[in-house]
Formats: sequence, structure tokens, C-alpha cells
Amino acid sequence: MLLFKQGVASIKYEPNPKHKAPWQPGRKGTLCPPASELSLLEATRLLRDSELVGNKRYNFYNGKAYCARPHGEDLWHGYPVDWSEVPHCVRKKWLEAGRIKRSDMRGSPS
Amino acid sequence: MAGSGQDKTERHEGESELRSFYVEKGNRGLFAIQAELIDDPDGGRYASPEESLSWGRLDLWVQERNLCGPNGATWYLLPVLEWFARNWDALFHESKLPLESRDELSPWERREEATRTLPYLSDDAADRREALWYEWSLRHALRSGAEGGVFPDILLLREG
Repeated sequence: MLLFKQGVASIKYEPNPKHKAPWQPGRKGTLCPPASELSLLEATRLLRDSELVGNKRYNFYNGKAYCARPHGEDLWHGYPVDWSEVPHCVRKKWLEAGRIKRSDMRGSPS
Repeated sequence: MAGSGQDKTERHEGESELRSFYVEKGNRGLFAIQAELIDDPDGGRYASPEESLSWGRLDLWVQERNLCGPNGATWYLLPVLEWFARNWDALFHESKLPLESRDELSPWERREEATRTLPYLSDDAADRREALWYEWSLRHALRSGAEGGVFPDILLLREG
């Protein structure tokens, strides 16, 4: 678990095993990439630099979009989402900032 | 949307009435929904108390085919049920797609087509189209209520 400060609130990233391989029988959560591809440190950075919409945070990494949700006081976990699930206002902001291109916004988490 | 055939509702005996909840509504030959609550394997550690209590299995049947796969989709069911409740009116009464078209494409195909042709539009036009589909999908795409679960990528709307 890693801790950082954002504004006056401290938020911590804690991975949720329900988004880790291997899956059990029955379809469950979208799968996060292995630590070799997305480290805990990088996941924490994604959370820190994410866009807050309602009670969720969004960011992207290596062509994949991620959403983070709180699961306790100041505790957050993240998981991959389809680009179409990223709020339009967030995608527009990233596009206008030149962080991504429309052609980058492809791909499903599962 | 839901079939008018046989309905089956059951509650098994157990320590907790809630934890042994099982329900099936509809007709698998048309449309049926089946839900079962089971114990959260992480004991509620990664979810709110109410979400943890809703850990369970969902099956959606259309014409005898389970869209959630042979083992169903196991996840927190509360967000999905809240999504249904929040969008009930739109699911049953909103039949229009964001973009009207004369072709015979299904809504799913039309959404794919709309996405594929985005590069041919100006930035403003592409932005407007994305905004329309995003807002519409919030009401009609089941995955809008998935909250990290792997539910089938289906669009639900009234036909005709």
C-alpha cells in the first residue's frame, strides 16, 4: 500500500485481488495487468494524477483506461475499463490537452 | 423486454434470509434474469458494506442462451441493480438511438459504426457524437453499471 498527499486529503492505493489473475470459474472483475507491466508505484502515480468525476477517478496507461474507486476511508483500488466508460468530459479534456489521440482510445479491458 | 412466460421466485432456507437469496424472473426462451447472493470471498474488505452484501452471481438469458457465460457473471450486484432502477424509464420507454439512420443496423452495430467513422469527422463533430453516445450509453449499456465487473456488453432498449 502506498500513501501520498493530494491537497489536504491523503489517499492510498490498495490493489483489489478481485482484479488480479487468475480468475475463478464464472466471469468476475476486469483484470489488471501483471506487476511487471503496471507496478504498484505506477498505479499509485496514476491514482495521484487521475481525474475525479463523482466518486471515481480516471487515468490511462499504455493504451488502457483505468478507473479507481474508494473502498474505505482514503483507500482506493483501480481496474481497467473500456474507453467508452470513461466520462466524455474526461476524454475531451485529455484530447484537448494533447495527452491522447482519438485513435488511442480503443480497446476493451476484457 | 422481460418475457411474459413463467416466473420463478425462490428463497432457500438458511441462516440468513438475505445471504441465501435467489431469484429468477422471466422466460429463458425470451428474456430472463437470474440472481443469487453468495458470500463475498474478501469479507467486505474491498467494498462498502452494502456492496459486499450484494456479492453474487448474475445470469441473463435470451432465447435460451446465457449472455453471462456458462458460469454466469459473479460480482457486486448492487451497482447493477441500482443501474436498472435508475434507468428503468429509459430502458422501457426510450427507443431512439443518438444517431438516426435509415439502415437496418442493430443498435450495437450502429454504435460500432459511429465509433469507427469518428476519424472522418471534424473534431467538433466527433466530439458531439461521442458526447451523445456516452450519455445514451449511461442509460442503455449494461456495462455502465458494472463497476469493475465483467458483464456482457449489451445494449437494452425498447424496440418499436
